[in-house]
Amino acid sequence: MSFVVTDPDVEGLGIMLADLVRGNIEADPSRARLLHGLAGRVNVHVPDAEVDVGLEFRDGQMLVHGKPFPRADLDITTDAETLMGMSTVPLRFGMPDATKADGRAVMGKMLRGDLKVRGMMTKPKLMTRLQRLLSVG
Amino acid sequence: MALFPSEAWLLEYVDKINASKDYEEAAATWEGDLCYVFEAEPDKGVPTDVRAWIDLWHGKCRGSKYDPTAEEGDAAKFIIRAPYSRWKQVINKELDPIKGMMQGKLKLKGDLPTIVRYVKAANELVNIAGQVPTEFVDEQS
Repeated sequence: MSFVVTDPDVEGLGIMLADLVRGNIEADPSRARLLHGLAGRVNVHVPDAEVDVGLEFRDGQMLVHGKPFPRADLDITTDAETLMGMSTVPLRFGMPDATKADGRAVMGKMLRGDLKVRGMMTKPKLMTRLQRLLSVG
Repeated sequence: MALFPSEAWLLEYVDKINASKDYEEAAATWEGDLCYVFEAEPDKGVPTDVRAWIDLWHGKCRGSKYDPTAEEGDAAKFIIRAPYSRWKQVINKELDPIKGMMQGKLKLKGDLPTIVRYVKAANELVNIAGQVPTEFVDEQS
């Protein structure tokens, strides 16, 4: 079974997120466990690149859709540079590590509104697992 | 002034990579070759795909080859391809390569987690490309 499945119309950002998760699972197969029991829909919006993507977690897989969902459990909006930075930020319990400068930088962006995550408080498991799946650290 | 794409341009690019302290620092542990593919646009003076291969190792470029065969170029650890005019935008800093990849304008083949880990080095390679005094083949006088 493939852990990551992309719709045929997916390109650009969707391919990148799919490759990132695929590459991370290939490098460390134990990360596939992060997909087990995970359910929810995530929209990722990158306004400065004018791209959006919808990620769906179900049945131990991440499905990548070319368009965002009308309603998602998590809605992430940020610029291209910050989104890439989120993959390299050190994590602590699946969230940016506030004891490290890079972690504090990401949290600062959240406080300033440069990184908006709607649903983070109601779906913490989805958020922390997504962070860990995308992290290259 | 070096014509893009050409072997002279690639050699100048390699010289600038090897002179860059910022790149050396950002790519200190990088190991792997990279092939740029400048895809054909016959109406702009690029009749066939052109490849530029660079062997990057610990912050330096230890080898290069202009226009290797498709088979040689496609064996590189990382391949970034786009039409010629997109590369022109990248070199002129009109297109950010990360945004270009997100928009599907530049296509990467290779292990993305590695590229993400070295995103600063990748950006530096693009900055260096913009420092090469360049004459574009479709603007040749």
